[in-house]
This record gives sequence, structure tokens and C-alpha cells, in this order.
Amino acid sequence: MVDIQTLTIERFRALPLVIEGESKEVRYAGNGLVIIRFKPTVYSFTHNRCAEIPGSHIPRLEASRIFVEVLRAAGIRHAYREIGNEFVLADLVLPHDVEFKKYGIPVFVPPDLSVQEIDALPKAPAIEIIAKRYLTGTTAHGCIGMAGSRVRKSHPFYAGMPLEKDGALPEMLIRFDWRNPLNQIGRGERLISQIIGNAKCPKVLRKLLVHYLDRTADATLPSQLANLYIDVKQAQRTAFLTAMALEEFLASKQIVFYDLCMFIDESGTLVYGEISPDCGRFRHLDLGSLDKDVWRTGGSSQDVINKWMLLVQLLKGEV
Amino acid sequence: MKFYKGTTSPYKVREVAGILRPLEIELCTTDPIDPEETGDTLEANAQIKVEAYGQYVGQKLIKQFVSEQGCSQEEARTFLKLNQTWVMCEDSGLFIPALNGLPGPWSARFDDCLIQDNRIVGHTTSGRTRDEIDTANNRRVLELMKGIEQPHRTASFGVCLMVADIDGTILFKTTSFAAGWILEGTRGRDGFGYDPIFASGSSFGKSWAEIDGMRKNLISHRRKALQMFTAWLASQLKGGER
Repeated sequence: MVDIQTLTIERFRALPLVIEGESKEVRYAGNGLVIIRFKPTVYSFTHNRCAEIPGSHIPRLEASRIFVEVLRAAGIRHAYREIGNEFVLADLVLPHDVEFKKYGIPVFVPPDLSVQEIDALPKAPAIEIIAKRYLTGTTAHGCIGMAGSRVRKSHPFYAGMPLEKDGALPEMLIRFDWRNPLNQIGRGERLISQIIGNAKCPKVLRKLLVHYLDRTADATLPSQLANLYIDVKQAQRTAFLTAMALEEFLASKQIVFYDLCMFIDESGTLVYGEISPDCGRFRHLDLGSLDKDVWRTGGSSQDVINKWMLLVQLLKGEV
Repeated sequence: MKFYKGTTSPYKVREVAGILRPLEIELCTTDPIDPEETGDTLEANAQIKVEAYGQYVGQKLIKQFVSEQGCSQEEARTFLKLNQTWVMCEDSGLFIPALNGLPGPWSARFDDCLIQDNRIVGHTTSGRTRDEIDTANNRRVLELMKGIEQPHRTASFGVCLMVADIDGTILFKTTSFAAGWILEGTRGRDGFGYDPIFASGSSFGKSWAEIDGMRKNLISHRRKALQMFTAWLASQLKGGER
């Protein structure tokens, strides 16, 4: 078995590639195990910012180590077996075919496993699951007029409760989003052609617009559609339990999350992705934001790392 | 498994639903009944309520079941009991040592109480709405606390939570507290009851009406009681259920 504590980047790169996206590189270590490298990238769709921030993978790894332990203690299965300072050793969760197509990578088949063993491997849907506690982000931006409205009077529990922007939702929501690539090259050019046709446009402006319009957001799925790719009921259960276990732990550190994204396999029983400051909006009751909101709103990359390191220190009880 | 929450307070329903519904616990509401709370403790009053609500919900469901299924009352009762149809009630209160533990079990109707030397000596029913009496209760506590300085402004919220079956037989009970202090005036617009005058270290000195429902649910006495409740519940699940 590969020792992730002594593994070098060269030896890592020599392993067969499973999948590589914007934030992670996954390589096969044999026997149904993978080594994962967290890329030091941060992304904000809302503000169209994506950047490599050296060192940003460290708090992500450290926080994941703590959170995965919390889940383990709560009896929730997670694919991560060991989280080192540079790499993660995990059970292989086979990526969905659409992920390989999305990144132009050949479909990975574990060379050392039999067909039956491959069939038994957990499978990843191309879906991200979001646990939401507050009316923020895409729900707040996308549903015009929801902030400021009230819950229907006929609701058995929350009749008349006001919904406010950035305010707490009456109860936790679980949402299923189809994962899209950050950019869909060609989309911007097509849209620009449709919008401005043959009209003259300065080259620099056109390039900027194309870059902006190339972006694709994840798409929220109706639960019936999501159910074609993941056992929605079971995944919802697992997502609730995961979010509540983390919430309980965070509450002991005076921290709440506004939303949290996670990855669960097709069967809805195995959590397999990173759970870190990069996966949600975390707020300390006294110290405020502990996430990349500072960067989304124009702060420096060092500001992000400082916030994330503070979160890790708070989780460890060091401050 | 189905739980009926017996209370006259829509705020308590919201708080309990917000905590329990993500756990897939089927929570139902029932028409409010208002049994006279004659006990001197949270536990005594919670018992009065859960027995009354248990029997009330039981009678109502049996009647409904008999009419829909054409079965006997005894068959309906057996089905509801096997199906684990339960009622959850609670009594909660604010306890202030400097006021000899008042308002305590009289918290909900404190402004309707006659008080002498920090003791309840009588009680009238003013018929005010929940929000009106909440405001009056807060005002009264603040008046009684005038001139009392820290560290004598300490206080705690307590809750006694009970679960009974449709016969009113008590199946579970737990009591939890959250410690804090009484502020000099009201602050904030969230929460209910005494939240605007109660602050705690866990809320970083903010009144419980200044923190949103989600944050309050993470530190409240009711949250602690519901944690005990869910732990008990796990031991009551029948095979195949969760």
C-alpha cells in the first residue's frame, strides 16, 4: 500500500490517473484505493474569480481530517481512509461517465480488479448535494422576491414565518445540483454572436464578454430527475445526518454553517468528498465569516488562507 | 412512528419542528387544549399536559379510525399503540435565583400572578394574547430585577419534555437547562417568551432574541432536551424503521 506520508509528487504523478477536475487530482493506488491531491485553487462563480492560491490546500486537508473524524464518530461512512499533509488515501468511488467526458479524460477502469469487483465499487453520480440553513447564495439570488416573503398560512409548522435574505430558514434543506464544468468553451462565443450579431465590438470587450459567458453554473435538479442518478431518499437521509453531525460539532466551537456541499455515492450511503472550508459558508458567532466570502468580495488570497486557518484553529480548540 | 406536539404556542412548534424534521421524525400538530397547570414544578406541569394531550389525541384518532376503517374502538386503539402514535409535551420556564426561582413554572402567565416577597400568592386569568402576555411578563421581570447588579442577575431557562402514548402513559421524560443572565432591558426581535431579556455566554452576550432561530436552536435548553429525546427514540425504533 502507498504510504501517503512519504509519497512524493513525482511518484504520485506516476500513478494511473482516475480523474482530474478544477480542485482535485485523483490517482489509482491499486486494490480499490486512490490517492487524492487537493489542488490549491479557490473559485467563486458569483464573482467569476478562480485562482490558484499556494498553501490553500493545507487548511482544506486539516479541516477534512477533523470533519471526517466527526462523521466516523457519528457512524457515517466516509470514503477517506487517511488524510496526510499533502495527500488523501481513500476508497475508490468510480466517477460517472459524464465526468470523464467533461474533462476529456479516458474512462478509468481499475486494471487489477475483476468485473465483479468493479461492479461492487461505489459509484459517484455527477451530483453535488447541498445542505442549506440560510436563505443565501443561489437560492436567494435566483428566487426573486422570496426574501421578504412569508411562509404560507396553511403550513402546519411555520405558518407566517418571514423569510429574509441571509436569514435562517425554518429548517435545513437538502438540494441536489448537477455538476457542470466551470467553463463551457464555445458557449460564450455563440451567445455573443446571438446577442450582438455583426455589430462592432472592441476586441478586448468581446474577449471579456466571451470569458464571462463561457461560465456555467451547477443546475438544481428536480428530485425525480436526481433520483435517476442517485437514491434520493437515502442520500437525503445521509446528507441530513452528515450535516447535523457537523452542525453539532461546529456548535460546540460556536460556529454555524450557512450552507455546506457534500458528495454522496449513488446508493446514498457513502460520503466520499472533501469537507472543508472550501465547501461551505462558515460563521463564528462572534468572529463572523470564516470562509472564502472575503475573497469573493475582492479580498486577497492571503485573506482567504488566514480565514481558513482561523477556522481550523477554532476546530482544533487552539484559539 | 408519529408524534403529536401538544402546545398552545406556535413558536414552540416551530422550534421543535426545526430541530426534529431533518431527522425524518413525523411531527403533527393537534388542536390546542389548555389543561390547568396546577403543578409547582416544570415536571408536574409537563405531566399534566402530556397526560391530557395523550388522551385527547387518542380519543380523536380512535374516533377517526373507527369511522374510516369501520373497526371497533379497541381495534383502533391497538393499531395506534402498535403504530407508536405518541404525544410530546413540555413545560418550560425561566428561573432567576435573585427572585427566589421565579417566574419558574409560572413563566408563561407571570404577569397574571400576584406576588408577595418573591412568592406567588395568587393568580388571575387576564385573557391576553400570547404576544401581549409575553411583553408584559418581560416588563415585570425587568421591574423586579431593578437595582439588582451582576453577578446576581444570573438566570437559566429550563424545560421538562415528556412523551406519552394515546392513553396518557408516560414513556419518556427529560429536563434540561441553559444558563445565562437577565439583561437590563429588552433587545432583539427574534425568538419568543423571555428571549429578549435573556443573554448567555454561548450567545456571546447577545439576547436570545438577537440571534436567529437556527443559532438559538444550537444552544437552547430545548435543543439539549431534544438531543436526549432523539437518543431515546433510537432505542424505540422497530425493525426496518429509522
